[in-house]
Formats: sequence, C-alpha cells, structure tokens
Amino acid sequence: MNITSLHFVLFTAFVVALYYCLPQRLQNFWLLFASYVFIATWNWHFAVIVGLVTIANFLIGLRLRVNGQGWRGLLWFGIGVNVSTLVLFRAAKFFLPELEAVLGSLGISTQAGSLKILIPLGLSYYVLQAISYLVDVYRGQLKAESNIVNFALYLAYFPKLIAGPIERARTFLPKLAQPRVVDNQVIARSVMLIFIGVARKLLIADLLNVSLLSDVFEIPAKYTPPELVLWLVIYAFALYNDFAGYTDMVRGVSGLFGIELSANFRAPYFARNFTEFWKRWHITLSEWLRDYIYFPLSRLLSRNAPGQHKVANLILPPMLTMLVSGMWHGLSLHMLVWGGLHGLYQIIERIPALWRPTVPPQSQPIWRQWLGMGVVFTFVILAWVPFRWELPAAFELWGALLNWSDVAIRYRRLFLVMPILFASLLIDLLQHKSEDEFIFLNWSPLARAACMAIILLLVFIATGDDFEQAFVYQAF
Amino acid sequence: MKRLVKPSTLQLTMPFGKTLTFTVVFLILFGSAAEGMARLDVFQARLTPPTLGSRHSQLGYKLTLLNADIRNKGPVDCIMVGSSTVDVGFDPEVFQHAYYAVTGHEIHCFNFGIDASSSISAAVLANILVEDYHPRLLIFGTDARDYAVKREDRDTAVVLDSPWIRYRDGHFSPEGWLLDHSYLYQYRQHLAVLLRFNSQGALWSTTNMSYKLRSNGLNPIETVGAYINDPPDPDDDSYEVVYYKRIYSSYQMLDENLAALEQIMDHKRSGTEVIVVEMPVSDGLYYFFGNGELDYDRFVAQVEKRASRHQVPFWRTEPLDSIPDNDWSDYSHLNLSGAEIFSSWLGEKVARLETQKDADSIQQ
Repeated sequence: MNITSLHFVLFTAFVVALYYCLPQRLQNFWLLFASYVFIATWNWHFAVIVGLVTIANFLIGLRLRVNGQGWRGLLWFGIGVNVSTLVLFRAAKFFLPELEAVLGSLGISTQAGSLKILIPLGLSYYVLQAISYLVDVYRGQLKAESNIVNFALYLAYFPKLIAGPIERARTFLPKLAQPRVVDNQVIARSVMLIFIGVARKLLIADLLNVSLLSDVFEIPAKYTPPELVLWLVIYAFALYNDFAGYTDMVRGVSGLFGIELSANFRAPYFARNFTEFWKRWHITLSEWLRDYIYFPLSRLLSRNAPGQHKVANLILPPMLTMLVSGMWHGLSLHMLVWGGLHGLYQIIERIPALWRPTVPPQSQPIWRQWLGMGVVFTFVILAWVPFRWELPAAFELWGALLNWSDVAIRYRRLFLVMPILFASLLIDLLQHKSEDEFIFLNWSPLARAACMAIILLLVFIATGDDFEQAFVYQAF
Repeated sequence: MKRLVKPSTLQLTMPFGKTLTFTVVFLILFGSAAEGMARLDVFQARLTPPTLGSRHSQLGYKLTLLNADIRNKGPVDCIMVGSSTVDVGFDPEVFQHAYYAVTGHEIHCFNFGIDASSSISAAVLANILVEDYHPRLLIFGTDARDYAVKREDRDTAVVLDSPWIRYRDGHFSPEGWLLDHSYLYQYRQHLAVLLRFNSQGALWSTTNMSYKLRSNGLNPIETVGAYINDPPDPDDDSYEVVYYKRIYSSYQMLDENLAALEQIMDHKRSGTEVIVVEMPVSDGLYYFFGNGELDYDRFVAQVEKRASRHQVPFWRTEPLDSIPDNDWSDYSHLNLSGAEIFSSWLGEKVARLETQKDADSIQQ
C-alpha cells in the first residue's frame, strides 16, 4: 500500500476515525494492529521479520542493564543481531547467485533466480532505531521499555515505517505513554504538512523525475555540459522533494494521531557549509550517525590522542561516519564513493579550524553566505552523481562536465521544468526566511484554501494516467 | 470555547473548518473553470480524443468523430455497428450516394464499427448510440465471429471493460459517472501525460495513428490481401491465421452472444428501424471452420431465425460473391474498393426497402 495511493488515504481515515473513538489504553494496541496490517499489505513476510526484530530487541533491552551496570557483551550481541539482519538482506543479491552456483556444483539444482530475498520494508530504518534503543538503554539514558506493545509500536509505527523519520526511543516512547491531544492547531499543522508533502511528491518530485531522460543515466556523454548540469540540478531537486514530500506526508498523518514525528529536512540546498548541509538533509539519519558513530569515535580518538587539533580527529570521524552513511544507503562501491566524497568535503571544510576559530555561517558577511551556498550546492550535486549513477557512468559524467566546447541546450523540457524548480525553491525560501515550517498557517484562510484547492486540482490531473512512482528512499 | 466532540484525544473547538470549507468552495470554482475549458472546441481540437477509460483507442475516437460529424452535418439518420469488418467495410459516403440515387433523399450515416468487438459489445454500443443520437436506422453488420468469442475474451473485454461503457450499461461506478458527465475527467489522462513532458498519444500533432479514420467513421484500408480464396498454409503462424483457427476450428455460437443479437433487434420496438446484414467473407475463411461451410450455414440459420422472429430484415451478401479478389485485405475484411462495392449495394438495398415501405404505407 503506497502512501500516495487512495487505499492508503482510506486506510488512514479508518484508522484515525477508530483511534479517536478508543480509550487511550487501547489506542496503542490499535495503532500496532494497524501498523502490522499496513506492513502485511506489502508482504506478510515483512510483518514476521519486524515481529522477530522487535522480540529480539525487546528481550535484549530488558537484560541490558543489571544492577545499574550495562552489559557490554549483550549490547554488542544486540547490535550484531541488528546489523547482521540488515547486511543479510542487503547482501542477499550478491551472495544468492553464488549460493546457487555452489548448490549447482553439489548437484542440487535450483531454477535460475529462484532464490530470491526481498528486502523487508523499512528494515534499514527500524534497525537503526533498534540499535539506538539498545545503546541508550546500555548507557542508562533510557529505561528499558517493559511494555511490549509500546516497544513494538516504536519500531513498527506505520507512518514512519517505510522511510523514517528515524525516531529515538527516548523521545518517541514517552509520547506513547502519554495521553495524546489532537486539537485545532494540531489538525491545521498536520493537514498543512500533508498538503505540502503531496505537492512536493506528486507535483514536484514525480514530474521532475519523469522529465529526466533515461539516457542521462546510461549515456551521459551524449549530452552537452550545460544540459548535464541542468539534469543534475533537476535530479537533485527531484530527490530532495521526493524524500521531503514523503516525510511531510507521514509527519502530517502521524500528527492526526497526536504523535509528532521529527523533521527530516530544513531547506538543505540553502546550507552555507557542508556541516550545515547535514544538519538540514535527512536530519534524523545525520543525528543518528552523529550520536552513535561520529561522537563516540571522536571521543575515543580524543581519549587516546588528547589535543583538539589532531589530524586523526579531523579526518577519521567525518570520513568513517560518511562511509557508514554510504553503506547504509547501499552496499555498493558507488554509494561508498558518495559517502567518501561527503566525508572529504567535511574534512576540507574543517582544515582552517586547525589554525583559526570557526565562524558560524550566520555570522559571516552576506556575500560569504551566498558564496558558501553556491559552493555547497555545486559540490553536493556533483556528489549526487555516484549516488545515482554506477561508477563507470559517474566517471563518464564527471568527465563530460570538464569539456565545455559545446554549450547548446537542445531539450525544451529543460526549460519547461523551471517553474517546478521555482515552486520547490519558493516553498523552501518561505520556510527558510521565516525559520518556520508552518509559515503557511500565518496566511489568511482564503489564501491557504486557494493554494490547497489548486494543489488538489493539480494532483487530480497529475494522477490521471495511473502513473505511480515509489519513493526513492523507500529502497534504502 | 465549546468542545465539538467528546473523545479525549480529539479536542476540537469552534471555530473549526473555515479553511477546509473555503478549500471546497475554491475547488468547486476552479474545477468548474477547468471543466469549462475542457469543453471548449479550441481545447479539444489539439488533443487526441479521450479513451473513456478504455484500452481501446477507437471507442473514444469514433465518439469524438460522431459528435463532430453531427456538429457539421446535423443529426445522424443511420448508424452501423459491428466489429472490424464494419469498421473497414462500410463507407457511409458511398452508402449515402447509392441511397440518394434510388430515393432522391439525403441520408446521414456514420460507421461505428469497433475493431475487436463482438455482438455483446455491439449491443451495448447500440444501446448507447440509440439513446444518445436517436438514429432512425440502426444497421448491425454481423459475421460468424460475433457469436463465437466469449464475453471475457481479451478482445471483447477491451471494449466492454471501459468504465464508461460499464456505467452506460447500468453498472454504476464513480469513474463511469465522471467519464459520462465531465470533459475534464475524460481529458485527465491526456493532461497527466502532458504534465509528464510526453505529448505522445495526447496531442494530435505528436501522435502517429496506426489507422486514419475518416470523419464518417470509416477506417479505410488500402492494402490488398493475397490468396484469400485459398486454404491457409498449415505452417502459417501469423496472428490472423492463428486467431481464426482458434475461433472457428470448433465453432460454437454462444447463447450470450445470440441474446445480444436479439437485444440489438429489440430497438425496433422503440421505433428505430433495425437491419442486420451479413458482412462479406472470402471463400478462404470457410477452410478455418472445423465443418467448413456447414458451420457457416449454422451461423446464418441462427441469425436468420432470430431476425425473422423479431421481423427484422437479415440480408445475406451472397449477391456480392463477385467482389474481386483484389478488394479484400484479408479473409474477412474488405479493403477500400471492397468497402465501396459493399456500401453501394447496402445503400441501394436500404433505399429500396424504404421506398417499398413508403409505397406500402401509401397503399394502406
């Protein structure tokens, strides 16, 4: 059940309606039941896997602290269980053909491609949430959850299951234990988020995505450098709006249950340095990586090599963190290169900090902020190349960008998509300038209603050919 | 502030729903404006006809052509329905000339033959066309295939499964209702395609049609079929040969298809003149039947029996056995020259029937 489908709208409406009628003690049961139904609509095996991961982490969590002391071995065992589950499913596409070959050599015949493992829906997301839970319990920052329903709901809560936001147990579980209130303001905020999300996904991301010619990904050298730059910009905005649209929608849906989910994006292409970019892009993943990889590694290095300006501390934490981020996105070399590039950007950005104090971007002159924005955007879109393209095509594309002998722009659609890009920038600009993602609620009801009606009408038209695009981040 | 609802989680207070109410009002306003635009000729002229939810493009094309034909020439007097044999074999222009030559009166006809339809789809279409356009004459061009294909057959289903056809056939669905009442909804698919930077199939200017329909609904075929009087080559695995073998090798006339024939003839009761005419087939077609011409004769006898029961004329095309070999495009489809011969013969026959009826009524 895709979350942009009419089925999901009806499903959510039914779940919300009954949720409001239930006493609070039954609401979590109901949400858990609905979440497992939602998972089963994709594939009932996925529900079994979420269930097994839930039970394993719940039991480990209960025994993680004994007499106020964390049990280190059990923590590593728990992390190992989660990571190996993720790696097993992620790596299946690599080792299954090998396994088939081995079985074949032993005389056990399998039909070609018959051994297939589907990556369970949202696995990468709930595994990270489970690890953060175990670490927080081990550190004593969170009491182990004794209510299996609440814990299971933390991992399987359907609005955030497919692609996050990656919630922390220490902020999410207390929300489940409290009575929830859905008042006028919550409804207004939730509806606004849903509308922005729908507009971002169906009217911006999907249209930008289909404007990308498939050749761009296969034979990039066919295009002139200005065309490639424009395709890259379109790809960058398509990817951003796809994920930001998804996040807004699920935050809006969750808001209807009175459960606030974390924001994942804050106008990332307005970032003025790379550190800021990662505070604005996929925020919940960035914070997870920061808290569970970057900081522990940095602390470890500081303990073993005291002194703030050590080169190892400058290089290793950002590079390893970004490499892990790359691997989380996909076990492939091109994702590793993408992560490595972002690691490199951050290292280079921090080099001046070795001899002078860092000036926060907002304290810099305006021209520096604009320059920083341009530099960050340029290098971020260059890094999207290995994120989307396999390495040979990525190198081909980078190579083609170096030869500016032909500057023709031959594709009309490159100009036709400009209003869509501007729409995306306008939403970001309004939210960024006011530093309030709910800025639209300050508009008059008439203005808001007109925008909502236009969005609905355009969505009605845009969905007229049964065209459905899955969310990009759903695949991670 | 007064609570609107009692449950503890939902704590709505007045005023509530102002923006949503305005949204609905705006949606009605904008939607009406868009609907008005979709009804403009200038809008429709550039877009290819809507598919009406069908995977069969001909349905929407023919309806659009029929509407345009009526706008240009006035109400339609006769409509011929049937399958591809009618689609390519009935030339309304030739028919009209032949009719005029005998009666001295103009008649306005339209070819609503739909490729791949059966008697069931022809019956459903006939209902819709009679209800919407009130022709005084309904001609059903029929052939043996009309009674052999099942309703679920892919080719028949492609017409019948259109939400619009289903709605008009009495099966309500919101989509069918919208297709019937809203031009915006009809053109929604094209607009969605255009929004996706792909005008193929949505704009006339960028659409390569696999067939070119004339404004009177005729789908003219210029090609000349070869060896249509000979039995098929046993090794021939062309689509046409395989298809005919599947349909005719153990020929059965299905009850539901015969009932559809009667449904078409029932229009006579409501004042519409109905004529059933056998569409010409080449001698080569008989080789596909398991029992050769015996099977074919069974088809003729069954149709004849029902037509006589409904007092509807059923015309054989035996007099057209002389259609030259070069006037066929395949075993059961006439090409343009063949269509001229058939349509002229039919026009003359209809004219004579009407003249005779007029004479009878004067005598009475």
